[in-house]
Amino acid sequence: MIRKSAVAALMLAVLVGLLAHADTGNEALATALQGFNLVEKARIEAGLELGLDQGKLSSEPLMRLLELLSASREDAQSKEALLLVLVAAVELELPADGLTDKAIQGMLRGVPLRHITQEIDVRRRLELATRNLLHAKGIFSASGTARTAPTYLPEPAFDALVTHIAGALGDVLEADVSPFESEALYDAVEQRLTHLAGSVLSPSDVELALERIEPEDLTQLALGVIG
Amino acid sequence: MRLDDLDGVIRDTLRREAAASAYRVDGLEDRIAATLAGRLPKQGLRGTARQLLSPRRGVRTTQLVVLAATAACFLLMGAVIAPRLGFVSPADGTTQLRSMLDAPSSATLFVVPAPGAETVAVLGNFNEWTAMPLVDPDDDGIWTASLDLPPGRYEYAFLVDGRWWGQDPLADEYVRSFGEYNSVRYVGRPGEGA
Repeated sequence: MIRKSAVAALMLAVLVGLLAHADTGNEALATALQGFNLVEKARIEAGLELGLDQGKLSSEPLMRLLELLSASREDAQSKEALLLVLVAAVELELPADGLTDKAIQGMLRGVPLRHITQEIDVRRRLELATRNLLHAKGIFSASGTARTAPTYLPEPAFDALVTHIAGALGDVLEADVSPFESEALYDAVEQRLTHLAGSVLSPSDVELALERIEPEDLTQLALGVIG
Repeated sequence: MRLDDLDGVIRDTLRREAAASAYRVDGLEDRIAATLAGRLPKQGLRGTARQLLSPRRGVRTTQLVVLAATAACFLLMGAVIAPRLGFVSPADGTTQLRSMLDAPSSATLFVVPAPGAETVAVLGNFNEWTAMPLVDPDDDGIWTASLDLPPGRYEYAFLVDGRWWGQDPLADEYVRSFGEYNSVRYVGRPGEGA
């Protein structure tokens, strides 16, 4: 009897702790956004909360970005534009940690917010185009974390694939590689995925993606994003 | 026969006998040396050392010189080359070296050669680009930090006296980000410790 009560009390404590933690996260977000003087405050707050809840955004990088934005002397409109790119990514159910990271880097180097916003918006569109390409190649995200078929990847695995393919493309394009250099684009993607196979990406997922994606697909993708 | 004549006879007799048995003496020294060498026990390390340390001179002097030169080479390697490879010198750096060796096997080591620098820090997407100081406890100009990172792809750079340095020679690759280089490490690749 005593043991059952102890277990119940422990479970209750864990539950309260989890709820308190969730509340703390949301409260911290609301507090961090208070000083921004946002026009679309409700949308931004809801979007960022959704991103955190769905695992599309991680708390620590987001809070770091908000801290840097808060300290920035640039105008409120520029800060809001940057946050709206993150929200747009979450609304499209795209993984947004790579965008947050890129924005942090830009802010630390004193890059103007307008330029940072343009760059992370390119990255967001690359992610969207990558997801569309994977869908066109018959590779999908299964809801949840279970693999339902060889080409239906668990959501975190699919998101990781999108993040790293789009990230590799974003890096080579930022380094002024022409979108017409199909082989260079493919090499960058292949190198990134191969490095990560067996650690954060499943080797079979990497093999599947590299088997189905052609170098010319990446040129089409890049041209569609940066014109 | 007079005594003087007897002396001459004895001398002649001895000369003849010596000449008759000379063939037996010829090469005797070499034969004895060969026989003794076959019976001598193997010298081994202890014997060699005893021989080298014996007060006799000659060939052993040369051997001692070779031995001393070899030891000097090893000491030179330990004192000069090892610190340049990122190892610490034996004085105060012992603690640092021990902490590196005691670090979990998955730890990722960051090393920056920056003699004369006041501060060195590493920042990357593993710590939200917050500067984390490296240490140089023995003042040999080699700054280090060890981080236990989960598997993943990490972009990072160093700040040496506040200046961005993104081309770590230990990096797996480099990327350009807003006009500056970042180093990249892949942690947790199959068959790799870190």
